[in-house]
Amino acid sequence: MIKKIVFASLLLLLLLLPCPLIFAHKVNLYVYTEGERICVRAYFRSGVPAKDSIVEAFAPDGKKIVSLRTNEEGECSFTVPFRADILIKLSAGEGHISEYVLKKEELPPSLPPYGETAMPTEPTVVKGNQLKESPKETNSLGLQEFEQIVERVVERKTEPLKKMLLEIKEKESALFEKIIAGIGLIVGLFGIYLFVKVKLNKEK
Amino acid sequence: MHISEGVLNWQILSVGGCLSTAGVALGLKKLKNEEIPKTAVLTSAFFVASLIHIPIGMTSAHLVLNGLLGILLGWAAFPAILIALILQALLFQFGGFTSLGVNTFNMALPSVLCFYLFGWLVRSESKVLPLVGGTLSGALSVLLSALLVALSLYLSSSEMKTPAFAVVLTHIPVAAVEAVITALIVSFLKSVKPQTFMRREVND
Repeated sequence: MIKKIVFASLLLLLLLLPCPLIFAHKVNLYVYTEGERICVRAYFRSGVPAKDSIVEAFAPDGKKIVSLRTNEEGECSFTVPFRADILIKLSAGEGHISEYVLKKEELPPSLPPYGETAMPTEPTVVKGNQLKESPKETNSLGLQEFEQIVERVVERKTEPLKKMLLEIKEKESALFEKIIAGIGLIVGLFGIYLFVKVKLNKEK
Repeated sequence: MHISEGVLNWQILSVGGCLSTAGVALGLKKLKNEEIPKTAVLTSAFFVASLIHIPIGMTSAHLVLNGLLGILLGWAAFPAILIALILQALLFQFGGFTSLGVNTFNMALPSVLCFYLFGWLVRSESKVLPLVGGTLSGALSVLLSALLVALSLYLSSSEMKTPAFAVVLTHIPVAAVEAVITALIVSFLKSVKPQTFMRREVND
């Protein structure tokens, strides 16, 4: 009996190990930085933007920094006055929740670390996703401004790459879903076969 | 080992289709109700095994597990492999629907042969003989399948000589891996659930 239980639980474990949590309309959170700005893009598995969803950002000590809603494209952005790991939570209603931790390394080093600034500087909220045009003249660039521009350009150029990586990651998780679906179909088909066979035999 | 759509000529395809249909019919006839759950589990194993790729030089080959199916299922390996191949074609675009018959035959015939050749070894009470049976059926089934694939390619068009040769060559290391894996699974099942190997006489 114990042997049987061990065998069954081993089998179950093997079947369940690669099984990720699967949601019908999983909402995805894509977070990236543009200089000091933190941009958030929320979309459902099918690629449909999650509009008017609540995005909340939290400081490392759990203090809420900002709370805002995504626009028609499922995007929103804000800035924080310090450099720290930021937890971003997205709630698209009906239990579609997603979280992402933005590492402080992704924020520019010019920002003061968390705790040194006594939080009075309100975070600025920018709805939409347009880049702010820099009013500075191009021929008198300081080193810092130049760095910022380079950073911004690099980020803009690497954004499609980041998106591509994200898509690959999703495809990989789709593989596991397909495996689980296949196993389910096999078991189901044999179950139906057994059912029909037994029923036909009884009728005879 | 999956032959894709449009590679073989119609003669080979129809011969493969007819032979597989006969095999599947016989397999279903011999499949006892009590054996259906086991068949479903092994079908799932075969379905997933093809996703485990082993790198061999420039290319890669995947596990087949048809030896294991053979010694455990006998003729029921035909319907089991057919269902697994249908789902692989549907979900992963492995092989094709027109070549389903040929592919099923190429995988399942060696399984049935292994059942008759090594089944008695695996069922024996001795400690060593089941291991020997597992090893031999793991290796032989893969090699035979590779030979059958090569033969179908070669018979379809003489230009296929090189790919046919390559199929056999790349599956020699797979056969070695498969031999070890099949022996391990057999010895595990033998110690945990020896009833799996009990021979059930066909009653209908």
